[in-house]
Amino acid sequence: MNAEQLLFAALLICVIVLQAALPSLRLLIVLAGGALTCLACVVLKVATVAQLFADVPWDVLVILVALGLYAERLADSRLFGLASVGVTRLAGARPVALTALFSFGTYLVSGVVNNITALLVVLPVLLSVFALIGVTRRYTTWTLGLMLVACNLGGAATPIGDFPAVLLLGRGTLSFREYLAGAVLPTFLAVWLLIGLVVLFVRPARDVVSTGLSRRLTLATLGALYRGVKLDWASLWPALVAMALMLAGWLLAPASWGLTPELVCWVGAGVALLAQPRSGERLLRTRVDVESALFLLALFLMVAAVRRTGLFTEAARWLTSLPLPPLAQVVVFLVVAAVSTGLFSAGPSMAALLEVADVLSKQHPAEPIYIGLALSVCAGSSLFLTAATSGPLTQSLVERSKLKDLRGERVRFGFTEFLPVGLLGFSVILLVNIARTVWALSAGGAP
Amino acid sequence: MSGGTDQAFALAAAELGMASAAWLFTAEADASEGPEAVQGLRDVLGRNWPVLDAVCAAWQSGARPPRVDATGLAQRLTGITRVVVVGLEVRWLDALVKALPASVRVALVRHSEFSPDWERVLANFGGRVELLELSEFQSWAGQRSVLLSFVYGAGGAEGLFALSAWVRVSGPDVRTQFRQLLGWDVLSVPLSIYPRWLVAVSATDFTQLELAE
Repeated sequence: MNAEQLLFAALLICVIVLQAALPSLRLLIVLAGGALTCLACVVLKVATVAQLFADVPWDVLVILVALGLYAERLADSRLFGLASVGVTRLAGARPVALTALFSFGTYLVSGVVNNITALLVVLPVLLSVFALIGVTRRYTTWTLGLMLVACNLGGAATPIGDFPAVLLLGRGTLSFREYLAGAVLPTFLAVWLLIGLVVLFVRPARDVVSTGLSRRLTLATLGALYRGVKLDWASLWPALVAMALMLAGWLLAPASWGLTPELVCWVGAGVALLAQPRSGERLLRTRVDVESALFLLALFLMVAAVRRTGLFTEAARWLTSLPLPPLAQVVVFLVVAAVSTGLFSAGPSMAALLEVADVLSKQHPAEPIYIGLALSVCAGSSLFLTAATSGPLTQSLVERSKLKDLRGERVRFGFTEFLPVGLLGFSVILLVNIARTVWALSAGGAP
Repeated sequence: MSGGTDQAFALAAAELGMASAAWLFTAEADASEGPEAVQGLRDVLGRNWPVLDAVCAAWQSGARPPRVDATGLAQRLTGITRVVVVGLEVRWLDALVKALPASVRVALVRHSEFSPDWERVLANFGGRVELLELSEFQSWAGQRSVLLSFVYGAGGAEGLFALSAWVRVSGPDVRTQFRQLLGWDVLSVPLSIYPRWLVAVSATDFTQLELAE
């Protein structure tokens, strides 16, 4: 490793560690890191600022912003809130059924909308249900923890669910269809494996007192809380039409038409917003996820600088020169990707490790390598509460709800409470991922 | 009766109102497990929630949820263009909103002893009800505006009670700013425990009292 590689890698790691340690200054730290990286690049003549900005995958940012706005429009229709009430009725307010159905429901929702929006629409209903049925801390921790892991799995199941998949779609590494075909089955298996393990072996609901009366009161009260809430068809139908158009564009449009994923997404989100111009304008002015966009922009600049020093190419070379069989090298890569995501979060890990995946994909079929990377990032995102933005959001929603357990004590959902769930989720996703990747590579391509 | 019932009732009281929640819980308890469950509800929650205690006691004496008809009240409000509502009792507010012409604007003062999800509360009214901050409610004052508060126990000997929000908004200066200060009684049954969460008010604070059925 030469001095330039060391300097830019150290700068990147310092910024990532610092922003994790001081989350209240997260954006400021990352943007300052981005500016410092640009300055160092110019001074050391590694690259000009224009070259660094040219390396930023703008298409990915366009997709993230557009999908974020689309998700807001969909959430405005109250579809997910009412669906959550329906799920509670379906579960009959039984704690075990609530754990299983809400986890799987979150998996489904986060495949279409981003994780933050998925939790923002589902959690208020669920936390109200918890308050109504009377829950224990253990039950709350395992149910919410499982939902967070399911959220990550749902995000990894489709090319539009979360950042890593969006990055693969945006840079044209995998087509929409290829990603979907490869990721749906392993994520589906992983989510049900997790639900099964938690429900059958951890049994978080065993201490929750669930009587016929408490279930009846829960359902009746929930019904009263949502007695007049109606589906907003005016918001829903443009969102559904836009989704149909986007899916058609992603799945059916031939590459020769030049309808790139980000263009399809931009137009689709535009259709959804234009259908109700006033609220569309309001969403644009107030609900664009500027924080995520700026965070990723600064991160991409820092990663671009490290890339220009040649560090990622050397890392890939180091990996492929390990005295291990090629399949074992891939497994090492998947484990490193998962652990580094747990430590440094999905954005930096995915952006950095893609370079290594590019090298590995020259020696192996590409699809299992890239999907394996996305699923490893998903496993890492599930390891710690702080590894993905949805974790701190859930923590703050639980605190704001002032939920109490059966002894009347406030329920906490923090780093240590989530850790057992995170370790289980991490292990299950990683094992499913390794098994699927090894199987796919042994078979010579996608299963 | 599980230990979490108190929290469940608190949530229901926050977003439905104490009287509305009390009738709901009592009816469900009776339908589920009969009179013993109503007594159980009273034993577990009555001390903390006197309105629920009163409703349970009334239920045991044969009372049933009152039929709420706001048509008469809406007729008496003819000519009014704005109604500012203090406190929340959805059985009554739903009926009023339904009975009032669409041209009448209805606002709910955002103040509660509990922590309701105001967005969810509002979503039930299909855009007919707006939220008004406590500091802004006077911006709705005028010759064609009414200030309405739900009151408890107008028919009993224990006195009249209202939510603390009423004390915050009512006063001699406010009386001259609204055409009417209307009290709407939502608890036609006597309170046997001093009503925690409520404050004693005088009937003369209101220009009109709408008695419960």
